[in-house]
Amino acid sequence: MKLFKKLFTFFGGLYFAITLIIATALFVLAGTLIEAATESHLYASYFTYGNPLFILLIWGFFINILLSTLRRWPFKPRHIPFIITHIGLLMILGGTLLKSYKGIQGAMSIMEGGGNDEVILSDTYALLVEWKNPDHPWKISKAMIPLHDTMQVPNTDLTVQQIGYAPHCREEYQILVDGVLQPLEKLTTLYEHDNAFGGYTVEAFIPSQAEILKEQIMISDLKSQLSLSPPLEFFRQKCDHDLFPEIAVAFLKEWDETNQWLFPNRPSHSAEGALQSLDWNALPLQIKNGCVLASRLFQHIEDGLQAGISLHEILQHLNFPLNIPKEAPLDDQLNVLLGHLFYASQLIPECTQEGIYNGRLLSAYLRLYGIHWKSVEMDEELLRREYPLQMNLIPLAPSKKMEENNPYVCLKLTEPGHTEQIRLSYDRYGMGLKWPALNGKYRMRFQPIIVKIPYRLRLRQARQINYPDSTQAFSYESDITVTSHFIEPVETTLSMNRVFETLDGYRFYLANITPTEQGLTKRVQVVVNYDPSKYWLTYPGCCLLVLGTVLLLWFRKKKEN
Amino acid sequence: MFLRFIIAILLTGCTEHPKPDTRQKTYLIVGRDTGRGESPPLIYRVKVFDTWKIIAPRESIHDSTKPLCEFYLQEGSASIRITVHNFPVDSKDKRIPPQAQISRWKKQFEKLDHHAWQTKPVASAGFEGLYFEAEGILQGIDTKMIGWSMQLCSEHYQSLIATDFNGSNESRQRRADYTIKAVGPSALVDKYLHAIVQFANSFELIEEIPIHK
Repeated sequence: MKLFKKLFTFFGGLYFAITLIIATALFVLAGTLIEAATESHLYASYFTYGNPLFILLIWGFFINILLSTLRRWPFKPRHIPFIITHIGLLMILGGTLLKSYKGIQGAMSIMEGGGNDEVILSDTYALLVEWKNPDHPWKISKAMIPLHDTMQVPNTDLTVQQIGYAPHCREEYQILVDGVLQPLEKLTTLYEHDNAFGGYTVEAFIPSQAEILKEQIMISDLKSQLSLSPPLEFFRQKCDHDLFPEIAVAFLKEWDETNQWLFPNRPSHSAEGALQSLDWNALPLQIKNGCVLASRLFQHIEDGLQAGISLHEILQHLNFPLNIPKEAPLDDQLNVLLGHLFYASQLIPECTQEGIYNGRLLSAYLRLYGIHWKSVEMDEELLRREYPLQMNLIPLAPSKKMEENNPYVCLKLTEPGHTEQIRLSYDRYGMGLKWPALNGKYRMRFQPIIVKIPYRLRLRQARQINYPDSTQAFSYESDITVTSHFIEPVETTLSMNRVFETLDGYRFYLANITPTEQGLTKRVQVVVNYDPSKYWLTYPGCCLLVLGTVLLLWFRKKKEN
Repeated sequence: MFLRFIIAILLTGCTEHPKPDTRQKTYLIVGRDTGRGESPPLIYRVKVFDTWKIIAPRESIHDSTKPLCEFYLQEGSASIRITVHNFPVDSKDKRIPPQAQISRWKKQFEKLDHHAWQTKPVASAGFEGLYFEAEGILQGIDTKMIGWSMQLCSEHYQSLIATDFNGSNESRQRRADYTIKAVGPSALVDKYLHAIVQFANSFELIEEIPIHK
């Protein structure tokens, strides 16, 4: 009893009050210094105002004021101003405490034409898990779980364990090409598969020539054998089906490195095995003759060109009877010449390919169809293909300004019979991609906690109002309709200095409008503040405090008189 | 005196919510019917001033040359006619560009000077397009025309496509472009310009457009 009395006296006494005031002053001082040093309000808040110790201080004030009031018991009429003042203070502190536990401070994003009733609680961490209903796959169930070391996803067998965390990271999109991850500079296209449960693909152009050519050969519908060009099809028949693109690419690359218009008359290092088995007699006579003629004639032409003699002089020297356009680029002239040769080859008896390597003959056949290493560069757009998209997260040293940090978590997902690890970066606005997990059974996002509020805001129009004859913003406005189960729809305009407030303590402020260009559909950020006790604790508490203070002064004056 | 001062300070902080304009009422606009005898769905809503005369269609408006509804602002013998059209199409690439609508409107004038018209990009309620203002001779009278030619923005268009499981007429109408055109004597249009702009800015789909999250 003695101890209780001592505690009662101490906690309701002046020394405790002074201790609390000094501690609060130190907190405020630390907060100011931290914020000045880091330029980060979040950082300062994390160590001071948002710290559980600060809430403990407010509880300390509450207890101190309550006990100091009770110490006046039994109350007398002269205590009335004192009691009113202290009740006012208790109500204000109670309101502050209730707001810290039940209040909301967040933001919502609304697009013109759309609406929202979900508030993102900034700088909170949660895991959004979504899964398909096994009986109705089009119905998506979801759970938002505040981030902890171990989390059990409700209504599933899934357990999520946080096994890693980095305070800051850089996100890098990657695409999977033939089992190898390659960085993707810019995300220009995005295809969602099975509502993102099947992951994402992007259209990309692989900037490696070998890959391009291989792609082109694949694009030619190699497997269905419908549209592969005749020389490639002729070559393919003597190659291993799966290895053909690789062999064809290697041969074309080797040919290109010789800087010869046709492959030199020698064995190929890369494809000789397949080339040796080519059966030229299986081709129409015209093609076979054309390849032989071209291989022999172009030997002279290539030698002459290397010696600096013009094509026309070479052809004159060889008494070539047909006309080749002089003005055209050399490559075009050679193509015309090749065409003439293949046309003329139907008129001559069968030529023998003796002394000519198959690589050279094949290169003539390929040239006839315009196929060579450099020709594929022209079809970049056609060669764009879809590749699976992945996100690589690179840990970085965290910035002192906490608002700039982008943390990531490494999670271990466990279901009976399955285990998987996944890394997710923080999606500050909860609007980005959801990543598939456990073979597409789930999709997940690491994001702030999102809470539903009883008010739905619908945005009709947001606008930037400029100063007359200027593009400088004077004000921002947005026309919204607020609907709820308990009030009639309210149409109002939010602006820089005009907030919308509900009787149960919700306040809506306009924070941002993007994009600012005229003629584009706008998206607004509305800051939402919910103080559940404002109207029945905090504001009446303030009134009582004022009343009590006035009465204190009045009583004192009366006493003096 | 001191108490009065305190009360005055307390009351200074009070604010008043803006009250809705009671001179306006919300009017619901039906979309086009399919021409197969089905009743057309309600698609749009707009704020109309009490003094405006509303003429709703009495027959089928399957044909997109017919307006969804007409509004008249009468002052003496002069009047402004406001017409609302929409143009439902099956795919995005079949939509008529706003610029083409405006070119068509310009051709309706018998005489229109180069400097007597202007356009500017506008966006409202999820639709994007052009605002048009022109003054010229129409049917021998000095006439002012103001109009909005609007298309649903790509993001909303995709959202509506994604949620249209049955290919319903209602969803098709909601994805449609719309135009609002006001034509009348120049002086009268100038007088009511603010009210007409307010009317056009209040035009929106009745149902909220779902947002992909």
